[in-house]
Amino acid sequence: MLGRGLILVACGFAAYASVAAPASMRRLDGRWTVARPELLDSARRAVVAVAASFTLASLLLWWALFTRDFSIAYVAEVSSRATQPWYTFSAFWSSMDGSLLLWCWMLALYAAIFAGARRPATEPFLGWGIPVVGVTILTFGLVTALASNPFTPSEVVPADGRGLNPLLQSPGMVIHPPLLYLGFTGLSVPLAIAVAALVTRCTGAEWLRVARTWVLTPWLFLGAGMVLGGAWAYTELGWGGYWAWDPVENAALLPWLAATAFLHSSVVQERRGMLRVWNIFLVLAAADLAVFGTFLTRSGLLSSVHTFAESPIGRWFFLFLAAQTLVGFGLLVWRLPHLRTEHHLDSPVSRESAFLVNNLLFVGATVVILWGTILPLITEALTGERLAVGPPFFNRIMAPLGCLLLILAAIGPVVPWRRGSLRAIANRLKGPAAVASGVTLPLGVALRSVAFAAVVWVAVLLAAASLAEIARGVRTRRATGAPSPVRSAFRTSPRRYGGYLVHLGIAVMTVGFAGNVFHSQTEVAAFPGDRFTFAGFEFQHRELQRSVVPDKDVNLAVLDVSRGGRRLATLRPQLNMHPNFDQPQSEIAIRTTPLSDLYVILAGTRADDDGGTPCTLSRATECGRVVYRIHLNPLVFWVWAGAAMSVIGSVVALVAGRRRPPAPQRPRIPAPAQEATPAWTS
Amino acid sequence: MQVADPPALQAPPSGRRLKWALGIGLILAGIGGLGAWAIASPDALSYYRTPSEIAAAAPDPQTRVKVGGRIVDGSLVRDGSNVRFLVTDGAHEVEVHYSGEVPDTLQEATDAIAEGRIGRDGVLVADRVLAKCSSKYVAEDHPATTG
Repeated sequence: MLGRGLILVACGFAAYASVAAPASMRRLDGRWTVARPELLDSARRAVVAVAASFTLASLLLWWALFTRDFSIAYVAEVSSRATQPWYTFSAFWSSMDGSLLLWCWMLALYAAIFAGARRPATEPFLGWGIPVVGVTILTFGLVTALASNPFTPSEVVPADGRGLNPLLQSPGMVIHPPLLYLGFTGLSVPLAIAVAALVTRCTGAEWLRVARTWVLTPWLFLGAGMVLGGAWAYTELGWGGYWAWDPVENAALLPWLAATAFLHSSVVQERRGMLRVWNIFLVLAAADLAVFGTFLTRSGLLSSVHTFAESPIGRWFFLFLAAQTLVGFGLLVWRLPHLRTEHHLDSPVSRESAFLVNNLLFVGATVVILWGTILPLITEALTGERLAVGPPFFNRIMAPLGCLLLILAAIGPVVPWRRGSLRAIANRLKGPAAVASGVTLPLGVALRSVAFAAVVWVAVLLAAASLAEIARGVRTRRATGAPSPVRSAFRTSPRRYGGYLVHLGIAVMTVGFAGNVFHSQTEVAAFPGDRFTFAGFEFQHRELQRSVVPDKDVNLAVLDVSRGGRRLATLRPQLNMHPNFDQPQSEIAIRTTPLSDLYVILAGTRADDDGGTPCTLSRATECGRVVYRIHLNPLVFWVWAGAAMSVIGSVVALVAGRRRPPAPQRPRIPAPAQEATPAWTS
Repeated sequence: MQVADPPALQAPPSGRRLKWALGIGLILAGIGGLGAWAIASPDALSYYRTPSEIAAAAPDPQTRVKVGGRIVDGSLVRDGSNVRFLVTDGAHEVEVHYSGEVPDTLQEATDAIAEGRIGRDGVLVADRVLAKCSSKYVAEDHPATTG
């Protein structure tokens, strides 16, 4: 078939590029140079051809989905004639075969940008970087084509497909998987750059500058993907929350944490030439954790709502992961002598040491979460005992570590490099600390919750400190007579001020997390007309409306919400039956305000109290009463608002500095005595 | 070896190095201690048991267990959102009582995992019920339904 052929063609190009690119390099007098530029150019063109082939294969799959070509088994499985266009579009990645193709396609696009764009800065890393992404694409492409082919023909061509799982019919599911995949696959490029840097011994400032942009991009996608996944769970799954420490959620969080650690520690290498081994280690770790995440999702090793059915391809992921880890860390150990640090820490009160502690906390959190995630695998392998690690474990870890990290994020930016004085630091944090205490004390007294007050104090401290730093930057620029000081701040130091915006967003999200302390829920059975109250709101159940639309039977309950006699909203939660899926599905109704979300689930109906037959699911709607389950989720709004702010900050960090000619390199502190000559210059 | 090495600086005096190592060690020990404290949380760990294993040896009522199996046909009773059902592994059955957020996907003749503690009466009082979706992704033993 054409689709599979395209994937195999892409694999062929990837194999060629992986051989041709390193073959174009020669080692002369200990320096790697591009000896045969025409060979490297052909490798680059091959990488672009890989991306083109995967693009065509993907377009072909979309074509089959939109033309309802049920002769392809995958199309019949994930779509039907009744599937709306928007969800036909997202049906592409709604099951395993298609999402593997998406994985390959995203990686191929990254690779094409990496290899195809003619940027002098990336040039030296292509010779040995292309084989890294090339072999990755080759492996996953072959797995897709040979073991998990989305173009496999149907054995019997059905008249209509099964349709997209109703749980996946949500705007979040249209965008969440591609974002996560952009995050997972994107980390292969910094890995390639790190490997190339190790091979060519070009481990100074150059690889770091290139790698950082390539880490920032997938880091942004991972973060945004996790938030959208949480939003999907919240609005669609109907258990009232947005994060459950599911192994697959952890799978995205782990590489994100490692990448976050790198984004911070890379600043130390840039400014002080320290932590060189550490930075390479973090890039290798982030990329390995990304593949590990994909492996977890696909292997069915851990039980999870996300887990695809167990499949033999897990083995290939595992082998690939083992190979990538061995090669990466082997190279790192081999090159250790070249990675000597240029400076040592001068004082515990210094920006370097703040970053160091930041990294210890991030990596510590990564290790502990990883341990909690794979502990079931380890104990089963060692003792045969099967166990599961629950959310209480992860919450106990992340609440204190998160608070420490937020405090550090408030302190770090005001600590000078090399050596600072505690008094000066305290002076600059006086204002933010006063604001935090002023906001928190009355709140804590009024709400009588020490835990809530403590977390809010930390969050307000960070928010105030970040705003103060932005204001300071703007003031200095105004003082020097810059025409538009705000723009000038973000243009000249996009990472610094973008970073403050990210911190601000995280602080806002933290307030949203803290609202969970006041979460409450209730469950009410009501006849039409019944009134009840919960959390200060008055409710009236009006009626249950039943209707049949093409792909589902709809049960829609109408619930009026008021407060103090004033009508606030009419909520319409649904409980629907999808015949093709033979399972009921809730459509949750949410009334969002900045203070709290009213989260209403139509849970079903209750048996009559007079000893009548209990309501089984199949006849749920024949019984007289409906059952509402209602959550009051305080401050959830701020989770999404803060996340949006962080995304904006990340985008600023990524693009704000782009339009200008490259900014003069930031001063090293102190200027290095002698910069190593880039080994790759030909 | 022609590549210029970064200028080698003098290593700091060993006393200072020791202090740094001590500081870093303390932070790492703190994180490790946090991990130990978290794993000791009473709800942190739960043990998978099959209905047959429970029939053979009833677990301690203090231990959290996860019991997986197929929901017995006709056993699923929803009384509002209180749910009772039997899970089976083919040989033995365990009764599960659950009150709370029932997943949409919980239905008869599908796999479910119930998590909670088993009382002296042998009933699993669950505080979490996870339905293994049969259709969200490719199901193991249900080949893609065709039309």
